[in-house]
Amino acid sequence: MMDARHRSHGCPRTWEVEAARDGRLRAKDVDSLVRHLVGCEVCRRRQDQLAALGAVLRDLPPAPDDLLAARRMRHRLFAEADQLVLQSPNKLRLRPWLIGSAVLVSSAAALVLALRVPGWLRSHAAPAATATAPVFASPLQVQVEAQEGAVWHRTQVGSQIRIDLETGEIRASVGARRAGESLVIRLPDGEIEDLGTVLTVRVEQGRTTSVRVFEGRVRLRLAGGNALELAAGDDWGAPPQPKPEPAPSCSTAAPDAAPRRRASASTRQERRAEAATESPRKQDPAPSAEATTNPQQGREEDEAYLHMVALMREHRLVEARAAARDYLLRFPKGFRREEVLGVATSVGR
Amino acid sequence: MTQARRASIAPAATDQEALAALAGGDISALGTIYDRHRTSVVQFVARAVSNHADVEDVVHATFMTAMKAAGSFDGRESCRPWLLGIAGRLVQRRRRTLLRFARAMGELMWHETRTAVDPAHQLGARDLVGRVSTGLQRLTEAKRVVLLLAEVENLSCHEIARALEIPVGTVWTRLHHARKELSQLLEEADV
Repeated sequence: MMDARHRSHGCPRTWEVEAARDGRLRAKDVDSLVRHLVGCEVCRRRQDQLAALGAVLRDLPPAPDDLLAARRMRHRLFAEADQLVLQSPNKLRLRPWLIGSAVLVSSAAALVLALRVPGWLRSHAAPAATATAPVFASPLQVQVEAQEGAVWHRTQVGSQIRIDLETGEIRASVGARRAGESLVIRLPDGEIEDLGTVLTVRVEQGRTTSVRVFEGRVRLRLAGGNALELAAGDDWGAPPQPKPEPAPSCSTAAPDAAPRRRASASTRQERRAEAATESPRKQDPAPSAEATTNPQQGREEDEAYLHMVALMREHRLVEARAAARDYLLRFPKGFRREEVLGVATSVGR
Repeated sequence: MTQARRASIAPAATDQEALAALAGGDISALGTIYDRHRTSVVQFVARAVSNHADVEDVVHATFMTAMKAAGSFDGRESCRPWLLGIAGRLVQRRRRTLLRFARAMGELMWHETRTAVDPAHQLGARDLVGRVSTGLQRLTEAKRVVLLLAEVENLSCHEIARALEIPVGTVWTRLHHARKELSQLLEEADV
């Protein structure tokens, strides 16, 4: 057996090349191999082959990793970390049981749906759908109604459901979610992260033109703009596209790149936000989406938020309120804006 | 007081300090670790999992596990090998869980936009990188994780053994078989 292997490789010491690479040889054996390599073509070829294999593996193209995904993952990580810290020990003990139950229930639901809706898969075989009625239900309980002519399709990426809307209008209704589940509607110029809601979204000519939220909340992220949270009753419309004009003079207002809300969208929460951040917005524009992805920026934001939380835990409510306002002044569109707004407007009353 | 509190949550200079702070309940240190090592972990996981839909979940689980296990970090200068070890174990473990079954069921139902064979992948398989990439996906996850940690992440076999909590002999065996299978592909490509 051994002889056959040696004959096939042409040198009985070929195995030592790989062994040396993996740190399996003692120092004196490595020295011996180095001397052997000078005169052995077969072992040198094996060495080159292993080096080439490593080089090709290192040269494999990197996985795509976009800024929006990075932001979403960071937000998800901190949300779960917060939840974990605030959980009581009793709840922590229940988690494995709850997770197991959730898995069994979702498996059973998937099986029942697969058996009861046999024609469903066929109706979704096309790469893009143009449906006009509720089309599917999943463990996440997502229902999509598409207006005539809407072009969209859907994928399940891990525990996340993605709906890619190319053009037209769809209405999405999202039921209760389990931990880790999420729905993201990807648009030609951004994405909407669902936070448990019913909404409609319209895309025209590769551009998001309107988002209406009927229940719950969504987070809208458009390329080149900051994340915008829309709550029930909000009706977001895209600003008119800037006409091609000569470069504006200093006195001319620059076109508003960030999405604007219509007058009907001003909810109580939004009025609070505007009251808390009115003055800094006039003087100092909010950090851009890119700035928010900056690790340093993110760290400062985390620190400001955690400082406020620490004060809350110590029941130093007046200082917590001041810290919340400080956060809003520094990060008017930060990830924790909503939670901080609650503190800024309620603590100490 | 405020100044002192702010100083206590200043960004940690080293991974060791950050993980010590995290173990002590300072969640901001999680952001420090995440910002430093997210890219490495994402790239490793993207190569290690056979289903790319799992990447985001595995990366998320890696950092959550790191947060829970921060106290057990052995104090090396960089926690990158430690994080990659967690990610590697999650990749292997994920395959065995019921969650995967549930997800597979889900994907069976909602597979409308994916094709069974990626055309770009087929085209890429004509060249060397494509062959290796295809071969990598054909390896078992256990072999693939070890090979990537050794050849791409440059961890020693002992580091891999410690990170994955397996005997070093197992690392050597998996590495040998993984290379053998991939070398056949390289030979076919006349390299």
